[in-house]
Order: sequence, then structure tokens, then C-alpha cells
Amino acid sequence: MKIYFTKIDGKSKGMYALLAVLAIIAATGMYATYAMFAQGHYITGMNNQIPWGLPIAVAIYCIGLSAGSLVLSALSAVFGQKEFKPFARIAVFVAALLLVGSLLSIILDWGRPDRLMLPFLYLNPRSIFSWNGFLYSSYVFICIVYLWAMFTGRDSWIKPMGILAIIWAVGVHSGTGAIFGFINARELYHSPLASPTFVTAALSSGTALMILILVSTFKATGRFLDNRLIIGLAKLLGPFILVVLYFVTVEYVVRLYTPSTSEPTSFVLFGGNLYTYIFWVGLILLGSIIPCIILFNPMTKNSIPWIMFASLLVVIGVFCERLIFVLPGQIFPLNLFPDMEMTSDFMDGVITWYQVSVAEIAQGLGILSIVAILYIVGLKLFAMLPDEARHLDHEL
Amino acid sequence: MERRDFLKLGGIVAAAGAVAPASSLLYASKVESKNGNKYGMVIDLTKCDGCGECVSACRTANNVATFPDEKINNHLLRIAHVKSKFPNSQEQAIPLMCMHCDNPPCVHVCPVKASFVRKDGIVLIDKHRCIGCRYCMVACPYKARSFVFKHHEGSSNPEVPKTMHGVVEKCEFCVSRVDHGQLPVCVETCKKGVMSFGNLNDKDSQVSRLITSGRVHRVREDLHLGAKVYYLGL
Amino acid sequence: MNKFMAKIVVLIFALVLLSPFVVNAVRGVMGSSATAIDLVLPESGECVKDKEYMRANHMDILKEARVKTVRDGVRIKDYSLKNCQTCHTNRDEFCDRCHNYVGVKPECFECHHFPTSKERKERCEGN
Repeated sequence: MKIYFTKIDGKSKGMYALLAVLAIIAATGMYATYAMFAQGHYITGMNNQIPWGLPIAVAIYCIGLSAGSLVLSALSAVFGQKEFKPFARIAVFVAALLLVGSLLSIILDWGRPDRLMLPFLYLNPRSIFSWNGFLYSSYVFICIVYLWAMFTGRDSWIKPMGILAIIWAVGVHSGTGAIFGFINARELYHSPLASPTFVTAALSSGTALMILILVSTFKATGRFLDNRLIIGLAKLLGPFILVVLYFVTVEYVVRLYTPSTSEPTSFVLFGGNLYTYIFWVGLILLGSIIPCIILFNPMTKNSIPWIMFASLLVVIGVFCERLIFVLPGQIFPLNLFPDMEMTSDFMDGVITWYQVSVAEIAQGLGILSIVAILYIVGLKLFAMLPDEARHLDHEL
Repeated sequence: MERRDFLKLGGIVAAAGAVAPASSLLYASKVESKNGNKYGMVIDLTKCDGCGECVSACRTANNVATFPDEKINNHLLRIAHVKSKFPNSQEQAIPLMCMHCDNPPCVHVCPVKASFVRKDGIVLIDKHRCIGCRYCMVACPYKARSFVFKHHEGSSNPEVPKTMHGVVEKCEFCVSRVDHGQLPVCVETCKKGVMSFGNLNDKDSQVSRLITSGRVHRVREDLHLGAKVYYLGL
Repeated sequence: MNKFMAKIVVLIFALVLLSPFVVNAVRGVMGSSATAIDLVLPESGECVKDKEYMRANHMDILKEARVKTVRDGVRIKDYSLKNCQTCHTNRDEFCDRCHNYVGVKPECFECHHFPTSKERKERCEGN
């Protein structure tokens, strides 16, 4: 079956209105970023106890989403699931865009983004950040070459590029998990499971996001999308969620069991604070259990609206997972003198709450809006979308 | 554009390649290898009553970024009050600073090698290179590092630079004083003789003698970081 | 239509990319900044290297001194920023005036202190 890819018309009033709204949000975000540098980073919720806040959570969230979309492309190119071929281009495109978004979020979070080139000039081979700088930028490059191969019809390139992109994606996402997993000082970060958890959460959130993007884009552009394709993706999503759930369970059970880490862990799991709710309600209930019930229930698993709803919950749930990943490890005070009580005028031994600020939220939304604008403009400039996405059976 | 300006532009490009190695010749004859020192500190907690004079001296001498909001206020040196969980246990004042690890996680994680261990064991930040990613703050188990959250006019001591908004600062054992043969400010300030600073490689130095007396401990020795700040009576 | 649009997009992109050069060229032609600037030079007239060399390479010397000082603890007085300040006392009419003219913004004095005349006097007496 030949698939014809075309550009979108992009002349409807709705699209221009959408673009305008996104542009306003993006401008607000950039203004918030400007304010952080002009007035000082004290206008963010970060402080000396919590050096990493929402921007890092947004960054690693975007990186995760990017992996999942890339997998969708690889399904047809590498794993031989030919029916997903119509989505090959758009999936790689979204993967590259989300990585650009995450890079923006990381770089704008630095105190000195004007020193952008220094990580490339002075590599520190022992720093996972240094490796990530290399991995992220080359990942975007690989995605672009992969897209170029697809656009120019170099069919012999597609499979090797797909394999390379998959390997790179695993590297990128393991590296991102390792940013936290390597930190010996913080009980809630240090873990060999950080990387695998990150990769699997990336797969589930990315697949869910692609379901949302595909259904809404095809609907908005009035193109035919075979329900069976979305149902096929949803069949992948269910197991992904279970794997994430398994990793999270293993990690938290081990931490809870170990005396030296049980205190911070029970602070997250049973502390009755915001993070307890983010964990149990956001990640476990909304992000895992309800989507699983929807996706494995014969009544709902073949219904597109239900799948959409489950995907939305997963996308939110994984964001909660990212928050749990980044924040409580810093909020719970460092343990300088085990089994002792410690106070000082530098917030030692005190739980310091992270109060997210308007500026950070505006910055995060602004970056997501920039990604969305690039997505729409990309659809208009390049033939990303198939005319129609039919299941292979239609030929028969 | 003026011809001059244009030439200047070309000059900048050429400078990157040509002038940098040429100017290293300035130093060729003058660079001596460091004389095998390894600096460390011993803090005798039995003498410390937590008066905090070292802390205020440190703030003044190092132009530490000081803000009324305690969440963003920076600390190079701080006094922690620690007591065990037994009832009626005595509170112990413990001065805490950068422990100048031999194996420092902050240096390992720095993506630009802005944090580094000098040949004499002092852990420093090249603030000209720091990109302000704050990964070192996340990695440091001692919370020895502070980020400068906004512009500040901290020039209480014009002899040393202050730290600008957007980069990280930490205790540097008053490195410019040490290079000029002086003691760190906290050591010099303390009249009770709580702190002693010196060369760990010299077996006759005061710090070496105190350490070999066998009663010293370091904070979080379980992490195997090789901290060079030792505590007597911890 | 599409090719025409593409050409316009490329043109706009090129224009944005080249805008700094265009602005500079126009300024040069207008002659707004073409006059030489007056720098207030120190009285002694002698520097650690000759004038021409310093004019072209002072930034590299300072950068080199910076790296040696910070990384290796090699503090050579001749090439330190503090030593410059003993003769070059007029930041506004020497450093800044020229830096503004050539459009560079070194950040030395964001952190390093430029001594006031009183402090300079004290420092000289101290030595």
C-alpha cells in the first residue's frame, strides 16, 4: 500500500487563533524567563535547599515524551509492525521537537545561559551532564537525518537510522535517569533503578502523548484515521504502564525496607503532604490504575474516547512521576549526622517546602507552547501527515 | 563598518588560534610546580561553643551573598547544632563548611569542569566558567554550596571578588590568603583555637599531629569521599 | 506561489542573519562613530609590555593570568588585574570608554572590585 504524505492547508481561522494563543503563552513564558535574569532567580520557587525545581521536571518530562514518540516510528521501521508506517514521520518529528523543548527548559534554567558553549568546550568525562549534552544534541541531529531519509525516500537508510535512533534514545533516557541515580548524597535519588524506570516511564508517557496528538491532529485536519491503529497503540500502552508500576514498586519497597532510607521514603509515601497525594493520587491512581482498568477492560479498550481519556491520565501521571523524581529528594533534608537531630540557620534538618512560582509555571507553559507552535508550523511546511491512515487489512 | 573594526574582527578570530599559545610564553619560565602541599583542617569541637564569630568573619572576608530572606541567603561556613535523640542530651555546636573532599561528587558532576580540585587539594569553583546548572549543589552531601539568587552589592572586602548572580559559591579555604601564606579567615578569627589549618603531607604540622592522635572523625565517612576537614570530639 | 513564499522566507532569514553587519555598515557610512576616542592614559606611560602589544593582547594576558591563578594558584603580580589598577585608575575614561566604543562587554568588574582613589591610596601605603 502506498502512503501519500501531504502538508496541512493551515489556512483555517481556528488554526490561526490557536497559533495566536500559543504565541501569547510563549511570549509570557519568555518574559518570565527574562524576569528571572533581570530581577534574580529568587522569583522562582528554588532556593539553596532546593536547587532544582519545576524547570528540571519539565525538561526530563519532555525528554521522556520524546522517547515514546520515537518508539512509534521504530515500530514500523525496526520491529516490522508495518501498519504503523503512516505515523513514522510525525513520530520522529515530535521526538525531535520535544527534545528541543527539554533543551530549552534546561538551558533557560541555568544561571548563566550565555555560557552555552562551555559544556562542549570543556567536557568532563566523569559528569553524566556532560555526556547528556552530547547525547541530547546528537539525538536531535539523528532524528533530523532520520526524517531526511524518510522524506527523500532513501528506504535503505530507514532501518539503520531507526535502529541508531532507538539505541540513542535508550542512551539519552538512561543518561537522564542517571543524573539522579548517580547522586549518592540523596537517599531518594541514589538508585540503579533510576535509569530503567526513566526509560519505561518515557515509553508509557510518549505512547500516550502520541495517541493524543494523532487523534487530535487527524481530527482537526479532517483526515481519516483508522481506529484499529489507535487501538493497536493502546495495546502497547497498557503493558508499558504495568512495567513502570512494577519498577516504582520495587524501588519504593527496597527503600522503605532499608533503615537508612525508610525515613525519607515514608515521608513521601505516608507523610500526608503534597507529595503523598502526587504519588498516590497522581501517579498510582490516576496515572496507572485507572488507565489500566480502561485499557484492559473489554468494554472500554476498543473505544477511542476511553483510550484518549486513559492516555491523558497517563500523560498527567507521568508528569507526577517526574515531580516525585525531582522534588522530594531535595525537600527532605540532607542527613549529615545520622540518627542525630540537627539545626542551623541554613535550613539544616528542616523540611523546606518547594513553592512553585508563577514565573516558573509561565516559563514551563511557554516552552511547551513553543514546541506546539513548531509542531503546527512543521506540519504546514513539510509533508508530515499521511492523507489517510488505514490499517493494512484495508488492502485485502 | 570602519576598516579598523573589520581588522579587529579578524584579529579576534586570529587571536583564538595564534595569540593564546604565544601569550603562554609569558608564564613558561615562571610556573613552578606546587611544592607537594595538601591542605586540610582540624576542628576541635571540645573547644567550640558556637559563638559564630568565624561565621561573621567569613561573611565579611569573602563577600558572601547576604540576603534577608533566609531561603536564598548564602553560607560558606555555618554552625550546626547537633544533639542525639536521647532525652536531656547536650547540644554540640559544629562548624560546617566545604569538606574539600579528595573524591568530591561536586567536581565529578560538573559538566564544564568549573569545579575542580587544585593540586594542593583545595576544591575550587572557576566562577568565570560556571554555567549555574546547580548540579553540584544537588550532588554535595554537605550542602556546602550556595547559588547566588540575585544581584548583590557585597563588597565588604575589596581584596577578593564577590560572586555574581547566576553562579555557585562555596568555601575555598580562603584560597587567596593561603596562596599568600596566610591562614583562612575562620582559623585566624577563632580565639579559642578551635580550628587549625595546615599541610597534611607534612607530618610535623599541627593538623597532622592532631589527626594521627587517632581521635578524629569526618562527617559522613560512610560515603568514602576523603574529606579533608577532620573533627575532634565528633 | 509556494516557491515565491519560500524565497521570501529565505530572504527574511538572510536579512535577520545579516542585520548586525548591515547596521554596522550603515553606521560606518553615516560616520556616527568614526571619530577616534580620547582615552585618559595613566601618567607613568609604562606598562608590563609595550603599548601596541597591550592594546591588542591585554585580554589574552588577563585570561591567561586568570586561568593560572584560579586553576594552579600561580599568582604573578605583573599580569594580575589588581596590578593593572595601580596605574590604570580611571575606569570610566579608559577601560569602559574603549570597550563601549568597540562594543565589547567584559564582566571583570561585576565581581572584581575596581578600587576607589581612597582605597588605592591605602593599598599603596600598605605596600
